[in-house]
Amino acid sequence: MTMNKAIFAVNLLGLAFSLNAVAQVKGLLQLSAVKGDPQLSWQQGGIGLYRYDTDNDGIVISQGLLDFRVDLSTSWSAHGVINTYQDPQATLGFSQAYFQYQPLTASNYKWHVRVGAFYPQLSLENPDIGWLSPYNYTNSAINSWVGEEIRTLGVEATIKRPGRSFNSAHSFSFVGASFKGNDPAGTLLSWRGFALHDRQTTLNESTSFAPIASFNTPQLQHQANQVLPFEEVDGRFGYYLGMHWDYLKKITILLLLF
Amino acid sequence: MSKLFIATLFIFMMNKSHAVTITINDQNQQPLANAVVWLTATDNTLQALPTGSPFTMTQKQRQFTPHILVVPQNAQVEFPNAGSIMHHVYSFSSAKSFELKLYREQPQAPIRFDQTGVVELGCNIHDWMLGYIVVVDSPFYGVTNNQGQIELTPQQGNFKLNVWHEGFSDISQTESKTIALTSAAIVYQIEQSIVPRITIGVDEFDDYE
Repeated sequence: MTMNKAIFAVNLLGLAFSLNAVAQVKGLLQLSAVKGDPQLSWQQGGIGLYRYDTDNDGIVISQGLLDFRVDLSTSWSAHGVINTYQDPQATLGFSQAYFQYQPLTASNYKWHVRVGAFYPQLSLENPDIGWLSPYNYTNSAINSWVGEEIRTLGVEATIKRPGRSFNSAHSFSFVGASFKGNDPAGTLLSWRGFALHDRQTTLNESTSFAPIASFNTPQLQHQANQVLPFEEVDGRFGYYLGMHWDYLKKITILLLLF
Repeated sequence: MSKLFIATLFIFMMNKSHAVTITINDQNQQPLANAVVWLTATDNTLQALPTGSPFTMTQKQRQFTPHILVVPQNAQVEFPNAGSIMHHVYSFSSAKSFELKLYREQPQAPIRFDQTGVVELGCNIHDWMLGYIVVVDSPFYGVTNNQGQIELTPQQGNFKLNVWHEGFSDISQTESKTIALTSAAIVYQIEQSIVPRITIGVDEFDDYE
């Protein structure tokens, strides 16, 4: 399959303002001129691996989001990202919503805790507002999938050893988290495989699979034809441990053990 | 008449500001840039400290600008945010302990620095940001250039020359030496080795990590 899709996107609206000196709200509206792939997109129940197909040709809203941070006290803040999409149908929802506790400390080590629904810090590709990539409109296959099916719904603690405090070129962070939910992660890889796009799943969204023939076999007749990636299935807690090593903000290495 | 002229000239010379170029060298006789230098009178004469418009420590492109700000005691310092992102500026230094949440285009009231000493600034959101405010009890101060030089214009007399550098092993300490301002050029060699400060780059996407 050749990639004959062209996206020319403009960040039409980048707004940022502060409310009563306790909140910071930023927004992004990104329009794309699309000439899509003829293969029907996975979003439309097809087996195409791209976000857009020929049905989307024209101007579409590829990203619409509001990112807010509300400071509740010196140490506590509330964060959220609200996304809107036209595809596969008009949706509005949170892709991230969490509280953060980041105390001021005189110690050379810094720490913070996040509670809620957020991305684990495993992508170097998506550091921009609303977990977007500043480098490309289409994420890599692995991060396209992370945006679809991975979210931490729980508590994450980070301890940082900033190079600045130790006059060192090396900074280290140690991350630990425990979470519920997100049990179906990987379902889309099983039934569809990797796809290439920048369409994140909001917290209550489901994603449908293509009506492939094997769903009609007796063994799979009870298989759902969609996935709710963030739901809890087995009632057990998940966890992950991670380490970040950063050299002068030029090289960053992330290790994450789920 | 000539007596009066000489007397007038003498008084004039007594009060005349005296431009002096001070060169700070490190232990290897190399010029030391970014050293803070200030002169305090040894005879305890009252040195009027400049008052007036506040000083400025800007948050620009996720760095403190300037990196080192020298202010006279009791000066007011404003912390404008020139970027579109918020900062959480703090200091735990004994000379001034404070915190300021700086939102975009929401200026905060200036902060008065009423005690002399070195104030180390950080940002709780961007943990590589580092800046210093050096509060001095003198109207004659400055930061050396790349040639290790600073030109000051005090009155003639005896002064204590004070030097501070961020590479000092204990940044709360200064070096000082009593000098007589008789010549136009003074060279001072630092008595300790300077620890080079690692320059950590700027991560423009650090806000969402």
